[in-house]
Amino acid sequence: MQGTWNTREIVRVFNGIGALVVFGVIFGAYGFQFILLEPPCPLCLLIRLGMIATGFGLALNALYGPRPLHYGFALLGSIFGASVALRQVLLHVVPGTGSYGDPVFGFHLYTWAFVVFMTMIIAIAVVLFFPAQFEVPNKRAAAKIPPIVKKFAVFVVAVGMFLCAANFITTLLECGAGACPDNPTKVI
Amino acid sequence: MAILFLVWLGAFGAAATGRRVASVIVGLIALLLTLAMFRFHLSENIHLAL
Repeated sequence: MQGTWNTREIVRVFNGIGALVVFGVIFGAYGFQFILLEPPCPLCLLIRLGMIATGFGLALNALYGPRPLHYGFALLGSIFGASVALRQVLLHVVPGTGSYGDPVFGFHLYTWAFVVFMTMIIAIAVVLFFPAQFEVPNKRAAAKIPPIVKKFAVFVVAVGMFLCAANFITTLLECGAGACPDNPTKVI
Repeated sequence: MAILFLVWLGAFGAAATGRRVASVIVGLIALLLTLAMFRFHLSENIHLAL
């Protein structure tokens, strides 16, 4: 394998994997939308935006190397998404107030989203234990970065761009340019 | 709501083309707009008992 692997490059790859995990959740939500024909509610779309914000911070880490600014972005996205997901949990937490969508392994999607966001917050906190990742390499060391790291980061960003574009089109077809109705009736 | 995804696409696009600082600025704007949309979708009738 070409190049030299150090803490910084390993953390970059882990950040890319983390971004793909949150992007994968949005792909799962698309499965619910188009296979089970469940229209996404406004809070569901805001949860997707929280996933995209989290993935954006992690993708920046994968693309440009780990920086506190990028981690801060991912944390803000996770906290925002967790707030939206918790808001939706609280809307239905009282017995008899109904729910939105079908449960998966006993939990609804917004409950799983809350678990994912909290897991991301904890994971980012743990990754911050390793200060060696913030040491910017000199030019000679930078030239030894394995090419696969850069290619993987570009792939992660491309997935993020695809999801943003796809969600833009499907949300535009579902809600138009304005705000979405509280109880949507059509998938797109 | 759809426009928000477009703003996020702009942030990713800036990152992909090597404009790191621009992508962070666009991303922050997108995050603030997303927060505003969340506030818009919160019910006006909220009573907290802290």
